Amino acid sequence: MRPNTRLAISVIVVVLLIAGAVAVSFRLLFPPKDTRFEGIPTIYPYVNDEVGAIPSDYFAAIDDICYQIDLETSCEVAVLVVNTTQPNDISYFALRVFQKNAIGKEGMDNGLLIVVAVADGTWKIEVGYGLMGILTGARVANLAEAYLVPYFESGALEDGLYEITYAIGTILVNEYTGEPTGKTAYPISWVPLKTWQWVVLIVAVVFLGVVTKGRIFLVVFWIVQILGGGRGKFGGGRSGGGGARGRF
Amino acid sequence: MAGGNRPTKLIIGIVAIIAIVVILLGAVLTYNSLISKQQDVKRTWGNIEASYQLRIDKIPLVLSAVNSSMTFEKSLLENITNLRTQWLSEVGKDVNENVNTTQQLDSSINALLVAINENYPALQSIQVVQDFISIVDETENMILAQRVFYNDAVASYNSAVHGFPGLLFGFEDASYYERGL
Repeated sequence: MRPNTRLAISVIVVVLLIAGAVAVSFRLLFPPKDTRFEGIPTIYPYVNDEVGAIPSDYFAAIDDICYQIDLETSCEVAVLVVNTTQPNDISYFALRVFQKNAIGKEGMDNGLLIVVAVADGTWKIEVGYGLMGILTGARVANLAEAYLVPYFESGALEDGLYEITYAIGTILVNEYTGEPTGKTAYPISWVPLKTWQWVVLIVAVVFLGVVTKGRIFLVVFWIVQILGGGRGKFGGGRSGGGGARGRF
Repeated sequence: MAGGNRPTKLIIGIVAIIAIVVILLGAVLTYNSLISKQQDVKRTWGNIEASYQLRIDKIPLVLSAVNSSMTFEKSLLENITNLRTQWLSEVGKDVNENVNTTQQLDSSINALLVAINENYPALQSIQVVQDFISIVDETENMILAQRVFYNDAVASYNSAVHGFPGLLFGFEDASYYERGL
């Protein structure tokens, strides 16, 4: 074989190898897009109202119940009101919301999600693995029939959400035996900062206060306001499909 | 540059070695990923099997309780018995076959419950039938969720099986679990 021919073959082989390497690398570096959560909202501790169905005083009251539950039991209860879950069935929708937002503490799976789809007239209470022993499907269905459905049917969804959250909270506070971690989604319910964020903030403010001879404190209020725009996350829990669903 | 000089050959050799290393590394990672996804499929199906076992356990009692009354549904009852036997023989062995049998069982159990509800409502007063209906109800949500997780695992696995370079390993597709009650 002539040297030029040998070189040409070598180059072709190398080009093919490079093409193969590029194709393999591309697949590994850019895996197929995850479509599981398309159309599934990101929610925040604890109450989420996409349709403006909950008046602000109820919103704060329900949020406070959830915060107290989190504080006393470490269980994370979330509320989500949407207009519709279509094209998804509400069970599928609630499961995906639960999964995407990882409601409940990691390793304890002690989350619970109440979803109401106003236009569809459907509800679903999704219960995490760690609470399925306390909140069985039948018990959750009974709670919803007693506390949620009647209020919704009479046009007072906010009352229903308050009552069902309170009822679930009472059960969790009285019966949940998992060790409370003492860590809520936020140490202070109305300021959406986690403990480590508080530490960083305070250290930074003290440092800057010294460096700027106190002038930094003039903008502290503004900084808190800006940070207030961001919200925390749930703790990493999983659901196994426990709970109940229904139609109003 | 007849035949290529030494630096050119060296560069070609180094590039070829790097490409081969990348391909081999990619092949190993892809193979491991396929095995891991295959295990996910088996694990998530195992969860469904565990929930489904509750229904399977109750079937003989239900069938013996309704057998004498459901005179027009003999073939349905026999079909359920056969599918149950088949289901039990497949547990832990062949996921695809078990998925197929489970889907057939879903349809047959559904048909049985509809028949009891519409044509033999008196049978609903039998304790065993009540227990079975409540077990089906209780496990329905759980199986629905487990089916979502199983189908997620199947989608991820099948995508890897059909994508490059996974298709070079010739893994078999996993079946989706399309239908529950």
